[in-house]
Amino acid sequence: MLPEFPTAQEAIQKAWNEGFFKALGLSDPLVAQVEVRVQKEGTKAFIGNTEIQFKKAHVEHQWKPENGKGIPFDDFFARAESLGQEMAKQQAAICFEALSTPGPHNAVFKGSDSAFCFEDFLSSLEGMEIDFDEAGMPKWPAAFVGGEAFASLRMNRKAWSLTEERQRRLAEFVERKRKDFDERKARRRLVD
Amino acid sequence: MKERLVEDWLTRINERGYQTAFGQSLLARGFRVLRISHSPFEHGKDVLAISPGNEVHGYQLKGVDIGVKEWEAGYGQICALVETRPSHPALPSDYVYRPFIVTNGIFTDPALDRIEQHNKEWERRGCPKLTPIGGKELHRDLVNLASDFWPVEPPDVRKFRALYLVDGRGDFAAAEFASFMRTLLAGELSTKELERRVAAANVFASYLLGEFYRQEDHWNLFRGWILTAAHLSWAAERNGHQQAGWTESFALAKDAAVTALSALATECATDFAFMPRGMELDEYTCLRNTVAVGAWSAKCLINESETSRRRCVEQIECFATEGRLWFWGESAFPTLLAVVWLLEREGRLKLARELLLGFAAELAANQHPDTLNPMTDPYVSADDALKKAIEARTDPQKKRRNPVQSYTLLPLTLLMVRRNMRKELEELWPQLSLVTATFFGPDKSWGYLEWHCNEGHERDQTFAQPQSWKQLVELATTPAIERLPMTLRNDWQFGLMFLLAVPHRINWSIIGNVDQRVTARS
Repeated sequence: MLPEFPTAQEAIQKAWNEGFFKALGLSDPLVAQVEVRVQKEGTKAFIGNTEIQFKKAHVEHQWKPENGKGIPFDDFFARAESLGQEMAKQQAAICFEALSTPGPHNAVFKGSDSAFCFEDFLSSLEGMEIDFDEAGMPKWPAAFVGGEAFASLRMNRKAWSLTEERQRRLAEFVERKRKDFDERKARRRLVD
Repeated sequence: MKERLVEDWLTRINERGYQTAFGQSLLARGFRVLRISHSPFEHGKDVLAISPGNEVHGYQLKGVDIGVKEWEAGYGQICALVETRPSHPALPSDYVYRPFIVTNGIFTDPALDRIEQHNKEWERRGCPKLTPIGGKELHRDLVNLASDFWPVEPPDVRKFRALYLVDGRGDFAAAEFASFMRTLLAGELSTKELERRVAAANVFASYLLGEFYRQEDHWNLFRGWILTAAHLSWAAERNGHQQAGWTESFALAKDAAVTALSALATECATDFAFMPRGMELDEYTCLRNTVAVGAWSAKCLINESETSRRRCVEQIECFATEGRLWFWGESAFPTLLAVVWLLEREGRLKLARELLLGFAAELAANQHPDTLNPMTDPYVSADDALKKAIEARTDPQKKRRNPVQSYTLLPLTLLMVRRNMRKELEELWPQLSLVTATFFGPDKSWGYLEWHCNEGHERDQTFAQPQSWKQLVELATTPAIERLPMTLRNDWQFGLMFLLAVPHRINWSIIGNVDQRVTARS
């Protein structure tokens, strides 16, 4: 074999991995907020009785090598970034897929011809559990919208902005959710 | 432990991996080894030696268990071994010849029976009988050869274990290897003791380089054997044994280094040899290109076919034109020199001068006292230099400023003076003369052969302002070779290889000596 340089190779790999994982972890706003837990042992995992479905995300790139020529520095590390971004997109898509089934911790705003309105907001949160902080303020879930939907939201502020009537309904909603939260909290105790 | 380690090594190694140790075992038994090689012209005789009883012995080395199948597969070579008599300039006109087949594995009973039957036929035809030597016999000889010198103190055992347990792909720890050799060969040694120790050193080197043989890491095999040869010479020089029996062991180690260079040169000469094997950073590829063509050039300077020399020069020209060579720091200087010397010998003077001038321009631009981005010094290996370069670009951090000087400035300047490049130097001189030249001079001649020399002095110096050209010419034409150890003084081929393997020992006395010998042959 021709000479190899393992120390340099390791440094290159380390820098490349850092570029890749930085892009993977931070380039997509949804993925950036998703906590990553690595399974240390075994091949199956459960939350309660529900088995976690692992999904494979896969990215690849192609490069045609030439005799005595490698990939120029900027291109080499740009590939790490673009692959990381692509992986983040795939992970985000998998996340959205998982979140598309409404549950106590997530809800889906279904798009329709009419603009998003306050009623949509309340009804979609109806099935969700809302927690409260120590000061008694609700911990609202984060919402993710696509670029088009976000533009529509901005254009139709009136449809969801808070009027007096809506503030009243929101306060009622919060009180109802607070009651649910207190009940949940009260159940967290040891009994005989 | 030592028996098990030798057994482990012997069962995993191929025939090239144990050939030097085998040659050393012959030397220890009073043989004179004439040749160790694997070429189409050896006619089945990988090792040729003269026994103490003046018989000529030819050995064919194998790296597998030999059953009937293996016997039949290699039968042509075995016939050549038995039926043709060796030819070598050192052989007398008439001699008794004995052929041997050696393997680090075993001979199966059917294979031994086959040998016996063939021997009867060969004897009937007046040919010599073939003698098999199996792994057990080899194991016994090698264990005996080094049995008194195994490391016993825990730090030495740890050091040995770390050197032995490597991947064999680029991870050769040169400083640690040199330190191990130095421990093995230290002390005041009588002639007899020196002979025993150098024999053990070659055997231990074979063990420690075993994994590099398995991985065919020719470059690091070359470095390992040159360091071994250097330390054999070091021990002899220190003990004043200039002409004693250590020279044959030195020749074995040196030949092993040349064989490794030759294997590397052969690989370089194949189509697409420099093709990256995966996604590879260009700087890495260029570093490999440069180290490989430097080694290939050295082999061409020592002895190489015209075809290989022509191919090597074409490859250098191609890489130089396309900017595919990267002289990574001052430890690249010997590599640059090997390339330049070959180009000069092959009449490519223009490119040779351009390469020298390019390095000088780099020194002038980046090695002056105010520079923020100096070349790495010659103590930084190619591997580490690339690591530093990557880290500087991907994770730049403010670092404390260090004084900048150059270890290569003086030898480079004197090389250019010897080539009468006054005009080019004059143009660079305003910047170049700002660079501080550093050189290290060992106090004792053997210090030159050490990887890390404790006894010596480092000196910084700048050129006089103005600097006399005449004085430079005088310096350039009279390298202080009288200070050098015998091997570096008399053996320019070893000097050239030593520079590549120990790139921080870039004294003008060594470089100037090699330069005079190489250019005299051009």
